Amino acid sequence: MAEQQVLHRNGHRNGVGSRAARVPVSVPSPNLLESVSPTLLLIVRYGVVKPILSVIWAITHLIYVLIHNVDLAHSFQTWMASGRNSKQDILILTKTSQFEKFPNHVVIAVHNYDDTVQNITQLSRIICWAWVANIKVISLYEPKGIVKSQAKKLYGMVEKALQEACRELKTGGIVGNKTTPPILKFYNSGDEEMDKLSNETQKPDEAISQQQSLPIYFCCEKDCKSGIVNAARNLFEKKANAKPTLSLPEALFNKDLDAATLNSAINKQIGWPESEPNSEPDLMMVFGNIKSTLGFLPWHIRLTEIHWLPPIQKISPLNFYGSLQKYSKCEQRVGK
Amino acid sequence: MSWIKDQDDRSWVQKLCTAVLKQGLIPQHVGFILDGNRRYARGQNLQTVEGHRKGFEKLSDTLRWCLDLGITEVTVFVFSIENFKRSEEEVSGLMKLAKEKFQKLLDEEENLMNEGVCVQIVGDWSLVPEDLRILMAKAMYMTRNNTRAKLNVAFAYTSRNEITRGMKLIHQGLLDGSILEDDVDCKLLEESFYILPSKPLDILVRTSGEKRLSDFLLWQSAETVLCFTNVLWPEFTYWHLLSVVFQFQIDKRNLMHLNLKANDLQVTDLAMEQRQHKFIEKIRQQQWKIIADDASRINSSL
Repeated sequence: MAEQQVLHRNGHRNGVGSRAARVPVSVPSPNLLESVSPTLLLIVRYGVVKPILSVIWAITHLIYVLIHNVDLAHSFQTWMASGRNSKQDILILTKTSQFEKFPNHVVIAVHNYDDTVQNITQLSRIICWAWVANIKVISLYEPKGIVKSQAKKLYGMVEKALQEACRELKTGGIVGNKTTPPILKFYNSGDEEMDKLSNETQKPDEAISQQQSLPIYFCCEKDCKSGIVNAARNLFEKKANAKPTLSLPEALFNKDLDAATLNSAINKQIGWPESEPNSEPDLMMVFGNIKSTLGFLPWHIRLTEIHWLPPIQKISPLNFYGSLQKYSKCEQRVGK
Repeated sequence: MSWIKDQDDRSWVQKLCTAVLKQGLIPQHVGFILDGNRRYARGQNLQTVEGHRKGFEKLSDTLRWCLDLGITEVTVFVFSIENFKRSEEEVSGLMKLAKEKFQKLLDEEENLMNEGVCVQIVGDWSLVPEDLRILMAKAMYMTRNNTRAKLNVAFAYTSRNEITRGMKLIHQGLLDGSILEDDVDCKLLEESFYILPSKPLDILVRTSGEKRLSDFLLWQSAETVLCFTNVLWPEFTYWHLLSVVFQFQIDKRNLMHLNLKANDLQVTDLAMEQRQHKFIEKIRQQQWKIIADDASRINSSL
């Protein structure tokens, strides 16, 4: 006890010490200037130097933004690609089978997404590329939930894009399972009808079981952090109800809540399909030149590789291929 | 090598660039994943532990630079729970290094107090060896009243572990009735992570070209700017830090347009807020008590 008091006094003394040491260090003898003229002090401090620095700052930012938005690399690529036709572009994605390391589950994250025909067409095209490139599970993330609200429309568009791609692959001389379009399965799309449809096609049917399926998981900002909190709340509720029958001490009661329990509760809460065991994505592609995960499922992305890509309107199969290529070259150590 | 380098060795060009950069927004809280120490050691034909030592020296430089730039809170990922899986030799070497450095921190008391730096260790203390834990507790207790700058050291930390521990505390609060079920929200969980209030994270930096978060600050970094840079941590320079700040200024503006977290705004209920506040105060006091106990044992164990 005496020890603690000493410590406390020490802490207090030091607190005072640190405050005393916090003397501003800036322009030499400001007090002298201030006594002569406060305006002169202001001019010296901010009058000349600050505007010049601000202008340099603004110019630097302007140059950076200009270079980034003109996007020379992209213009060069489109110029290079203009000679060839788009069919060859999509064929490049079938080459991903040669990669040593390959993502099973990929997140496609978009932002600044409006409800326009161009956007939805391009999004369905990207989903289609992912299938051609042999990706097994796709998560679609758009923070505001606009993509979620278009789920029904998207279903038709993706189906159409897949059929087209299959035709292109056939004429490109590709044989095998990429010549028949897969069955789309939508999860957590916010549209009960669409989700139900996905579950119905899971019924064992000989004709269907021959065919591949492509699960697409929908996600918006409301699923993310709130998903974690709501999952825990559900767990607590269940436990609270079970309480009268258990006379366990609190400590033991507490032990039940471990990361694994929380993990399965969160997966259930966010509507992750039970048929897919691995809910942790391998790769996240963030479209739109922004360096942020935009709030996507924080619990799930601990080991996800994150790539930045241009906006979806500017994206080509070549960019998509490039991202997968980069992924294939990266070694994962998981802490070791 | 002290925790925060005491002299300013920046060139006049660097100082000029700093002055220009300071015309824009400066991040208040920066997270660093100190990655690449071992690759650096391999490249230089050094022992692994030597690589980590070099990494620590770089941390000391970086903390100085951050203070000079006006970055007031820094969180560094020093040791992950997953790192316990490494070879026994490396783990024990790292623990020894940590002990040495925390002892050094305590010896440097005056310096830290003059700079006004508050040191906090975030992580699962139950996994830390006792002798190291006592040193950490002492460091936290000693600097707890400093407010000018804050250094959070993530040791035996993973973000999933942090979230789970937070949920456990909240569950206890529900059981003893200090909070109600409706009080459990994102804000409450976030507050439960820290013993002292933390500023919102502005940017997360990962060195050595890895493009992953590796279970670091997953919750806190969800809506922030991320910066992956190819340089190995021991080779990180002031120029890299300036480019991190520049990247932050560019991307922060883009992110602000997106208006993420807008959905978070809930109807504020005064009684609820009070309960939440009281609960957070209570669990923080409990944790402080444990830390004070640990800290007071330092003299008896030495």
